[in-house]
Amino acid sequence: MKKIIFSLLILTFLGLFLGVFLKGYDFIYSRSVVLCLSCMGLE
Amino acid sequence: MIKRKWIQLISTLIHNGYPGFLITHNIYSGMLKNFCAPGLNCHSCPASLFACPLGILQSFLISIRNLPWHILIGTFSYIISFFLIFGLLLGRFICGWLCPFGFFQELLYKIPFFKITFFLPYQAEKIFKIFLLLFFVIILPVSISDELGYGILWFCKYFCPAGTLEAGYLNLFLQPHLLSFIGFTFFLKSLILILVIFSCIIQFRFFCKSICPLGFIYGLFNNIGIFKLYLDQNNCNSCKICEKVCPFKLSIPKKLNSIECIRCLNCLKICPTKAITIKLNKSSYGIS
Repeated sequence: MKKIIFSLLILTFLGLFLGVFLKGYDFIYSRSVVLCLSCMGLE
Repeated sequence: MIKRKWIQLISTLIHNGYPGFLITHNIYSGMLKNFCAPGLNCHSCPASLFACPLGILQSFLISIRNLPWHILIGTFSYIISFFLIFGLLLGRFICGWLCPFGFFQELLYKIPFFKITFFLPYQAEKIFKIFLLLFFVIILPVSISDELGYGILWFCKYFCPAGTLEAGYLNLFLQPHLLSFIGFTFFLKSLILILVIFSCIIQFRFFCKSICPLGFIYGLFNNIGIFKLYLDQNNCNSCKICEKVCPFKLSIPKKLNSIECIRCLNCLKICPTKAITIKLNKSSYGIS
């Protein structure tokens, strides 16, 4: 169990570092500021 | 002890803290949309300040064929780190204390109407949630795509009642020109929303208990998160009062840290001998 948690913690920090370094937040921003017709159930 | 409903109210107001939509009639587009919210809260809701983790995960999965590798890795890492941070730090505390849609369901349950407690077999419920998560959130968005290589947000488009309520109806009210886009999908989602609302009036948090894929993901962290519920066997007098106050009727203490537990902490508060406590997950984090 400890090994799994340790791996997850490493994955968390690595993911956050890579995400920020490679500007992963740009994608999130670009998708979340546009009105999502699918979410609204419109076609 | 702090009343849970106040935390839920504050969290709902933080999740949906953009009053500017009343003037602009449009959704928030500031810097906070770079971050995912912990709870289920549609980012197309006019008042929403953050991105919805499930919506963003699907948006990423439908676009993987068209993204350059560095954006692919960056976005995937960023999204996964949000799930891991929320999961490891809070787990299903998010469901019980922070999720706006969970709060909405609890308000619905306060409506005076007949109440029933029906239980699907535990395994069937679990399999249904895994099916929803795997097929509607992951496999279908990735595998089915149009000629341009983009898929469909299957869970958001055909299921999510939070999206229908927060984004659908509110935006239709604010931007009447969108009425022309109403079709079969909107009626289907509205029907699902009505069914979910009715089920939540008669059963406590029906959506959280039986459907929510986000809650299922957070539930996986209940046993390995930083905080965990513990039972002091020496103090427990087996009065079973904890089981009676559990809104999901979990067999406590056996299922103290099960996937189903939304960490409402009713059991901890009611225990006359204080046998149930919440502590740092010492065994897993090696803290002595």
